[in-house]
Amino acid sequence: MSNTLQTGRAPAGLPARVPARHHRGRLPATAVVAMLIGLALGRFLFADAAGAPLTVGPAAPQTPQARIAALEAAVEANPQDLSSWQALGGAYTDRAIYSSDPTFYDLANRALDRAAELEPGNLSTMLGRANLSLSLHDFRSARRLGTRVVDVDPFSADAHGVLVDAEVELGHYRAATGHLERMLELDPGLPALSRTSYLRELHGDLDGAVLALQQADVASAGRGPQAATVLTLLGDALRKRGDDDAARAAYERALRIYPELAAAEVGTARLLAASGDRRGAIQLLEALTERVPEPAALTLLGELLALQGRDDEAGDAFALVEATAALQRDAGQDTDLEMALFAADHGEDPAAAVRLGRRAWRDRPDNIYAADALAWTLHQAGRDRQALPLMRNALRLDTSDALLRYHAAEVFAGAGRDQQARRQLGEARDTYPRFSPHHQPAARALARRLGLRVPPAWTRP
Amino acid sequence: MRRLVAVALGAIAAVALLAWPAAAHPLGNFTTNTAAAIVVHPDRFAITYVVDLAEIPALQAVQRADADGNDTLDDAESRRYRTQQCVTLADGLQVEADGTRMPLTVERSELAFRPGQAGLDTLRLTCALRAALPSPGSETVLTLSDTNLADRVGWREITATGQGMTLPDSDVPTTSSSAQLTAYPQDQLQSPLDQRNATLRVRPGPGSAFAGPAALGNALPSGVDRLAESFTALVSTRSLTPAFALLAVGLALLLGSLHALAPGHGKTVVAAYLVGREGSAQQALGLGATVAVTHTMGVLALGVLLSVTDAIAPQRLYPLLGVASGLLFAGVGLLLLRQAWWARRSGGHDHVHGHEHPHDHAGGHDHAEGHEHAGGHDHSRDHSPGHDHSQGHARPGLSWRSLVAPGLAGGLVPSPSALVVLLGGIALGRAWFGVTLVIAYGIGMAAALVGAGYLLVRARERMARRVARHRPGRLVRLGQVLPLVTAALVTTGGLVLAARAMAGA
Repeated sequence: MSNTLQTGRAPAGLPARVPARHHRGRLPATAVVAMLIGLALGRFLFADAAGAPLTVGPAAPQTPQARIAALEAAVEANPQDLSSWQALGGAYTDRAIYSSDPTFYDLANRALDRAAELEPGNLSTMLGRANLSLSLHDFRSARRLGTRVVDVDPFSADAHGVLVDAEVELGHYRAATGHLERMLELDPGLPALSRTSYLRELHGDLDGAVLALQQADVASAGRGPQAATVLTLLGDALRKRGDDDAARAAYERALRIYPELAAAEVGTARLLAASGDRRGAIQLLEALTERVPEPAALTLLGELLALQGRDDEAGDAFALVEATAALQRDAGQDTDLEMALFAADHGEDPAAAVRLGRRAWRDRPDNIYAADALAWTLHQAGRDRQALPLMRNALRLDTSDALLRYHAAEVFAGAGRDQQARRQLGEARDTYPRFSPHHQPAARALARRLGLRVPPAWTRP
Repeated sequence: MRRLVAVALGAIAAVALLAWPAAAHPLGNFTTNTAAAIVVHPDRFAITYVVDLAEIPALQAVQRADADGNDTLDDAESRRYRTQQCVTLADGLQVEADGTRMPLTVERSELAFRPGQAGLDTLRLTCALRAALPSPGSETVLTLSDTNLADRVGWREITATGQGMTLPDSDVPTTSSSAQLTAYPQDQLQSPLDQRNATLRVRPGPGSAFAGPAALGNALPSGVDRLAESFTALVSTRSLTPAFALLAVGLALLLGSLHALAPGHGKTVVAAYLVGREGSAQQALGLGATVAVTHTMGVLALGVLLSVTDAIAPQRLYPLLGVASGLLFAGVGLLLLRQAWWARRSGGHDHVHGHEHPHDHAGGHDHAEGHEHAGGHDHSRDHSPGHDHSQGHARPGLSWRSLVAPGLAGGLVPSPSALVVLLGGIALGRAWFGVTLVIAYGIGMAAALVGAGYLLVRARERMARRVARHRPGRLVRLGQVLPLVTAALVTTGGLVLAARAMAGA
């Protein structure tokens, strides 16, 4: 374990990745990470194998849309321009992740197909394909492609980045850490730092995660969408640690740099909801989802509307989440993990949720969040005994995640392990009591039953 | 059923919608796309504003419009939604004529759903907007700024054309590159068009080209277009009383005859055929009837298809039918040409022998007398044993059977306004009424065709008689040349129709 990784109590952190839409709380965060990584990929693609920088189009465009437009113009002007096709594939992938609009996966695929026609076996194209696979949650393909690139070019930081992400999702956290260390040696830039932050968070080192992102923030020099995404991730990490004010400041900075960053707005809305201002949060989310109907924002909106007794509107928001998931499925994107949790919390058929949970677990064997999702769907279906071993698996990294701990507490309590339940609920309370307005009433009830001190955050109406 | 009607009406609203079966929205499942088609008339300008919502925004729109929360839009909800939306959208279109803000009024609105991806629908809202020109007949600078849905991702398009007005300066194209948001360019990777502003100088003069295939009635002369539109409006707003039904039938008749008299669609070719083949008045009637029957059946078939499925793309069907019709005409024309050629050769032979008037049916002058052989009784004689039609040099009048091909060709392409009439009837909740209207439309068409054909036949007969009286020699030449000319006309006309249809495909 390198020094770079070791900051806090935990055995160092490993990074996050796009496809890691582990649970609702993580949706925007992972989207942001994804974008970051996509941008890194783009940067990688701007350089050919020999490392000579290639400039494509006019001076670096600021927004993903502008970047796409510039690259489209470049490939139209010169259809033989391999690097522009590769960069375009990356830009479309970013766009799909960033906007949650799965249509862009098809465009990404087509751009990469063109690149592959121009030069079969090109490593950058292969890497672009690996990133697309990650976004579509096909982690095994991503790992295969990433390994092929690393075999030929062991000095590709981005290929190691792909492998970090794939191994994390497949639950091979040790292998992921190894690739991250290599990546940090090769290029200790934003992509490596954001992955460091995520791996630290997974290993229970929230302070280390915040630190890595603060470093990334300094490195990004406050410019461009990258800086805004780093700040959003920083805001998320601070929020999970309970530093609401610092988190709010980070989101505000992110939105000043890049006002269209949906993830920063979702983070702001979470803070508002956590502080008790549900109306404010609802207003913000309604305006946001009108513009960008992003599933994480819609889920939060639906939960808040339901808490306000506006069940019809909540149903509408949940229907939009389902519709988006259907579109993603059609586009070949696997969203079983996210939808398993969604179905467990807001669906009408617990058995269907369990089926989704099983598929998520099959696709990400040993991933702690897949274990958590399946365990939670089993709990909601009243099968806590079956959920027990999965929940233990999900806790094996000692991750600091209040929602995960709350899930665990419910499962342990349901299986009659009150002692363990008490410990997990205490952890959730002490890490971040405002983790979810939706679960707050149930958390309060459980705390009372277990004889645990109820924090003020759980007693709000 | 209401939904079905809404879909069907939506489908014709932009006459020929490209079918878009369950494909991903080409611009993204989250996109909101708009197109403003400006048509400047001497005294006013009209804007057809189309909003195409991809799956997710469409679902959001339905959720908002669904006042009673039953997850479907009933007529009232749908009407309220499209009316309110069009008013809002009209406000968001800032139009200035010579610097003066021109408020737009909503003339009508249409709402349609089409199947999208993952079992979801896409939504298409069409607003017909208009405003008066402040100083009709003089040169004006028009500017349009589309401030609607500014923060949404999607396609933004503006086109501008003139009708009775020329646009010497315009910074927007005349035709839609997305066929009014029905067919986005898909063959290449392309970020959406983003045209939100237009500046045009307009002045009286011949109109610029044709506004785009999807705009209703662009295939029709503007008079018919407007009539058909108001007819649909009438039909869809009234309840069906006997007086109203009669009025509707009368209007359908009128529309049909107007359509028949409008240029194009092979009417001239049919007329030329009649003249060239020296058809009789009765045969003109027969030909008109054939055209009407073919056309009526075609419209009914297409109407049924359109109201049961969205998978039919009239826009694709039309060119095909057009090509078929044109080629049929051309084939008929070639046959005629061959016959005329043979006839001319034998006729020429006769001519060498001077004015002997051989009574062998081969002489051109014989036929030029017209009234004999063009009569219905001739027809039975034509079919008597021993007469050889196929050789052509013995030019008989016109067989009934030979009317079928040109009749078919003439009626093969269903007229959009007839479709409007049919679906207008269906909109009233009575399909049979729609059928009645289409039949009335066909009868109107037939009447106009027969009338025109009859006049032509009479004119030819009179001319022939007069020429025969004064200059018999020229009559012979005319009798020989006319069939050739008309046959050539039919052939070229058919080819032109086919080519035009193909170019539009």
